[in-house]
Amino acid sequence: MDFSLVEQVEDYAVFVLDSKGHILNWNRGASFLLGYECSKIIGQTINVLLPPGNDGFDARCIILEDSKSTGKSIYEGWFIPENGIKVWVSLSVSLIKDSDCNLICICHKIDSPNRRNSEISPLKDGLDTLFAYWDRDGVCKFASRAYKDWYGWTSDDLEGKVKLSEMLGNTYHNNVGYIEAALRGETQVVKGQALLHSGDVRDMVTYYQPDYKNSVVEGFFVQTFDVTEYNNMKQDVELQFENIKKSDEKHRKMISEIRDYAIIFLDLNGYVENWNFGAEKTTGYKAEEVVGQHFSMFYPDELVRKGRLRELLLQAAEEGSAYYEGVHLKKDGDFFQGGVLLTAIRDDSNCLTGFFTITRDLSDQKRTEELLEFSLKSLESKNKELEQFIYIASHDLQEPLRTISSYTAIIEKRSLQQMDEISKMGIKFITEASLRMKDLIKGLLDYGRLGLNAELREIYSHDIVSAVCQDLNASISEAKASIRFDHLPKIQGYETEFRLLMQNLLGNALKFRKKDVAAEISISAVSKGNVWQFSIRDNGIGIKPEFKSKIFTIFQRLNGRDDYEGTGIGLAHCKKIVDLHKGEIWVESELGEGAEFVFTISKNLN
Amino acid sequence: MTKIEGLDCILLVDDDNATNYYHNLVITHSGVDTHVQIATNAQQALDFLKNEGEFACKSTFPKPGLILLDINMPGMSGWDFMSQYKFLPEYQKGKIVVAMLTTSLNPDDERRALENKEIFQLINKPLTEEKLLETLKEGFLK
Repeated sequence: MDFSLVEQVEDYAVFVLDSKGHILNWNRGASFLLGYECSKIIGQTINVLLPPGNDGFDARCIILEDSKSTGKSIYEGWFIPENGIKVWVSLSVSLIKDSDCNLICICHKIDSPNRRNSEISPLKDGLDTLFAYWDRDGVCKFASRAYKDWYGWTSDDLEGKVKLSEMLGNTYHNNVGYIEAALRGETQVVKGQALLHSGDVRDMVTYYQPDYKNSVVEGFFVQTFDVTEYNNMKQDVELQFENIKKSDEKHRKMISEIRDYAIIFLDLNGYVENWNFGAEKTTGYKAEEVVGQHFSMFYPDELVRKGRLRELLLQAAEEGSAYYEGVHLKKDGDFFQGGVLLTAIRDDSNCLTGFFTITRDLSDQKRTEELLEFSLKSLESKNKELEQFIYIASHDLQEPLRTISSYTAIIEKRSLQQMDEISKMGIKFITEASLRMKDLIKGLLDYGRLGLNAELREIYSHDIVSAVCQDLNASISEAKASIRFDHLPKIQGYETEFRLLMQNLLGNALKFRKKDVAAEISISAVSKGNVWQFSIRDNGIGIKPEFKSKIFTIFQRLNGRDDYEGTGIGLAHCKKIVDLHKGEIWVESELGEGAEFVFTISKNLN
Repeated sequence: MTKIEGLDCILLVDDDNATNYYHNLVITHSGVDTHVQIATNAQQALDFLKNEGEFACKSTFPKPGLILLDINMPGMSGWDFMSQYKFLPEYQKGKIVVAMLTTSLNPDDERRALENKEIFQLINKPLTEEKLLETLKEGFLK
């Protein structure tokens, strides 16, 4: 086929496709209608012109498949020109004989179905268009019903009988100029207004079209349209367009200033329309370098080859948005880990008009994540080391301590009688100090071991508190203490540790009682959201508010050993046990007013 | 026995009885003629200086020449003592205060002691005759 025949045709878009939809030829008419120059479009597929999503898919089927099977097909629907403003076209496709299933497409713009129905309507109160034919002598040869109705004639009266000057009466001289021009062979288009029977004023357009026969004007057609609605709509559209332009500018300005996110507007096919400051910062490209380019330039070739970007656009068109996380390219050849969200933009009538993408550089986030993971690992190993250290140190400390205690015991036994007062005191202090050191080391050892090999299980806190009370029976009777608790809950926890926690807190409540007052201790538990909150309240000596947080530190004591014995390790144990149960421990107290120790145990320990 | 002017009394503030006993022995052995008062907590030490609490019956203030203050005590620490001590009127204060540290395990305590104008010196435990005499020389004989 010789395409040069149609190459210069301007009234119709003509192009040739191969069997897979690639554009092989493209004439001037096609450039006029669809924008693309030959050089830009040849080699691309028909998809470029089709709307994304199902509509495009259907169109593709009609154009490529139907025409191949039947030799001919007609598609009527949207085409997307280069400027992105879609046009409704009628396309006839024919298989070119003696070729490799190439197709020739002839295409022209027609009114879309919506437009055909609503934009230019016939006169509101007429049944038809105002249309008539008058001959040279001013005699009506034909008039539509609406025309006759309009001027108040019946069919029989008007055609062949009435002269134009007669019909128009007083208004004849207003129109005579157009009539004479039409009879001279000049088409006339007259805009004006008309008063209807109903009193409405309508915008009208009248065409006077000369009728030639053998180069002689025989008469003229006259046709009148009611364009009121069209004008209204036009005004409306213009106003909306202005508004959109204004708000668009505002939005664009706003978006262009955003620095932390790259925000890019794409047309239907993924070509960059708009570019913000964030995009410049993230990729290194300036707006003038990328506007008009395909957005695949920011992604590795491999991704483009796999059609991943096309998929993303399709997904966004169908589902509203699509997300990709991975490598993004920069201008300088470097790349970064980024997340991009593609969102479809639709106009009021839900027609897809393009996309915008929001890209965030995730490098920092990824780096932070890696760092965090690393810190966590090193923290874990440090913790292990520390536990090991406490364990070994405590063991090794016990060795010389045993020597000291054993030999002081021997010296005391053998030579106490011969000793003077100072030596006796010395021996006494050594014995006391070694015992205390033994307790301290044991406490340290226990502290290090807490939670080691502990097993999570269901524990009945009520039974545990009862058992602890049994164990502390001697101290309880000595303190003349009354201990109240009922309905303590069943919880998930580490039984041995939980028991030690209760033992320490109850032990403290008994130990730090007022010397002359019978101890009263109450234990309770309430469920609070994700935790069980336990409380152990006493009427003892209380704690000065400034020591409230200090007391949970290891070896921290508030009282002299003469008054209250102890190593200062009990509450450190409690703190560690509560930590193990993902809870918190604190104390409410005033000096002399008793103390309430409160701790929580998480319900989600698994 | 040597009598040093202005050193009628040394106040030992330490919660550990063994330490107090030992420091008392060191003072006795050094030959310094002075009364030694022992307080096992900071409050007791303040009461002694102010003639309050168990010392309320006394009419004259003891005004110790030297206060040996343990920093690490349960409840009220040496620092807590110092923060109240600085508000005492001059006639209730000692002549010099020496902070006693359990070796230099905690550099923070050392720095704090050096920065505190009320503290004359800091000494690592335990007190020895040499250290005591050195301190007395610097505090009383110069």
